[in-house]
Amino acid sequence: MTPPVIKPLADSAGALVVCPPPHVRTGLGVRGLSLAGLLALAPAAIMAMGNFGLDAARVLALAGSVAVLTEALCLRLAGRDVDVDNFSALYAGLLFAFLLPASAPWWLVAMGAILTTSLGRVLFGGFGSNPLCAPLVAWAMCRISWPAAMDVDFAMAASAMHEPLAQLKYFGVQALDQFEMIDLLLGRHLGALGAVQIIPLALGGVALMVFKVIRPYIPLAFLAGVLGMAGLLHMIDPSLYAEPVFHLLTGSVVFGAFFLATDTASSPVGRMPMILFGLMAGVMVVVIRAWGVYTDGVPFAILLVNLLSPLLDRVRPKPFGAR
Amino acid sequence: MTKIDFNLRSDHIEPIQEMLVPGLLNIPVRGMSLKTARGKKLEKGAVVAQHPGQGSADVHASLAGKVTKVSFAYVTMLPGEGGGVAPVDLSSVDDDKEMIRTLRRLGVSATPLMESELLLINGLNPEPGVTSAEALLAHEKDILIEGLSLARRLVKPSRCILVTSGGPEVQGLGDCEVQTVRAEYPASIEPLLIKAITGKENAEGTAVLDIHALWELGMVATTGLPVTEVVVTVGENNWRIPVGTPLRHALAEGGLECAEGDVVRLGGVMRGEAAYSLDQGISKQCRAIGLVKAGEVAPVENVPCINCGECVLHCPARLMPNLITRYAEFDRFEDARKQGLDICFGCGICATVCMARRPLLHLIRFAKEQVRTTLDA
Repeated sequence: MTPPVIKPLADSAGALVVCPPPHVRTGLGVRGLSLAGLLALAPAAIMAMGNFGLDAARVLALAGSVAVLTEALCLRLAGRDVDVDNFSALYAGLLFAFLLPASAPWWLVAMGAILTTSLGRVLFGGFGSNPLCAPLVAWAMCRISWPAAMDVDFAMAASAMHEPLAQLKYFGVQALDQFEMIDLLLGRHLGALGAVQIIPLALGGVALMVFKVIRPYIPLAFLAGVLGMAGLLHMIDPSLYAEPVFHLLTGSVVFGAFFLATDTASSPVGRMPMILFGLMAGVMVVVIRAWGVYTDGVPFAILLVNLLSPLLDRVRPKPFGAR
Repeated sequence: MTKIDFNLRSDHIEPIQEMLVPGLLNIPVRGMSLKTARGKKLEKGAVVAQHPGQGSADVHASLAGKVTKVSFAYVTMLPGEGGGVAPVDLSSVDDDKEMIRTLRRLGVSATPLMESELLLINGLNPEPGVTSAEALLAHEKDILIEGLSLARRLVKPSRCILVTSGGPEVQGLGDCEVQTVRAEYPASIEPLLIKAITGKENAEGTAVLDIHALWELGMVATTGLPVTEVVVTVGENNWRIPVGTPLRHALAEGGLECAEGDVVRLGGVMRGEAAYSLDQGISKQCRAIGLVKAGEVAPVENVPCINCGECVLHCPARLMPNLITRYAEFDRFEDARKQGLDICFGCGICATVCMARRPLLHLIRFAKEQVRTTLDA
């Protein structure tokens, strides 16, 4: 047993507040971080409702609420404090919803949201301990288990719009002439409901960087990786590989760069590891798109590089005095 | 988001003021062997407690008076009638070892006074919230020069450099070389100061004396009496305060009003401890007293690390505070050491920037203390 702490002169009547130094802080706190993330997602969510109608709102609301309820239930079962009021579970749930087609059936949304918090986070010890980006774990499970419901082009067959990446994969570069740059920017093409809202996502992401909620290393390296690899392939054979900007504006590249790859727990720390992490993930995206089975390479690329985080963390400078 | 001011330079420094004598003294004696007892009448400068450690200094009665209460941590005195102890004639001490012993008896810590090639005088304020170092440099130059000649005699350096912030009121010190560094915390921390001047991270043969230590040396050299006062920043101004003055008195004299829910910090903004009682006496190591108003600083949270990497990107020692503190949290002190716990300067920058607001500095100090008392014992 630890001996009791004896404080001479301490009188309970005029007790002071005691707290550890330092007496100044910039950290936002988990709640602040989640709120900043939610705020950055808000324009894209509104735009998604504009483009896909109430269906998008339905998916967002369901995923968010189920994620929060699952987290609360899991914490209660584990006998831990229920801290869903820090909004991190809601944020994770919405991130998952952003990856779904707007027509996703309710059971798929609910299943994914349950997997996001249970398998993605709570199983590994909660927010901050997950080795893989939690929404992507759920996305990968759903994508493999229910391919038809998760395939955007198939699930949204009733829509008049096309999915650029599916067009690229199945009809080649020639089929891409149908897409105007402005349509791609405004999200007027098929894709995951939130991830295709390029302009609001980029605005939200840049705002997060400007207000120093996230560091620029991972997003910028990620985008550079995508552009670099796509540019290289396009240079080798323009008739076979699409332009780099096309890769940037389709699928969930922008969403992944600012919101998924920067997931704190699953990404490395330190400047060099972060840059390497972003570059590798970006390159992997184009590799999967060019030669993989899946149309949008972003989720699997980030998941794969997440596995390398502990290794990348070892790339670090020698401590002070060791040179 | 809050922008932190890490500036160490104080542009306007008022002369150091003398504080009104308090009606009661609580002299800190924790960990020392007591040399007095309840009911004894002491002269000013009489020994109250002796430090058992090598190179550490004794503590003396800062006013004449009567001891009314003794505990393991404090000796309480009521100031009253009485004279002072007789001064020691330092000029008659020829031997260096004898001199160091004498200085320790007079309340000066002699640990930094080893023989070295290079003597650095750290003229920077130790951290934000403290201006007492530059105030001493601006207004107590004569005493500092006395201290410097004594320090030179013991350290025997071939070069002596005063490191300053380049502030307007801070000038040289005798015939000491002057070098200016960018005065931004943590530049004032010893290893970083040595690196800024010598360019080496593993500089051997360098002794660093901060201005407060030099002032203590100078006080002893000029008066021959034990050190019984500290120069402390209270609010905006700097004061000379008898050791053991209760916080309540120092705050009132300094014009600070403590309300419900405030934190009283003993020391600077970055590393200062929070006081637990207004009756606590000021120790010799205290450099500043300040108030942190309720709600001004977001409280620490008992949350797990979220691995954002801010601490790693800011650490001046290039460590991974996120790993060190996680090991410390789960009592894995050997692993914390492998991550460089012993290299850590304890500057507290990691804790200021922590996104999750974890008590990083607290955990690091805890781990260091555990290593010191259990693993190294």
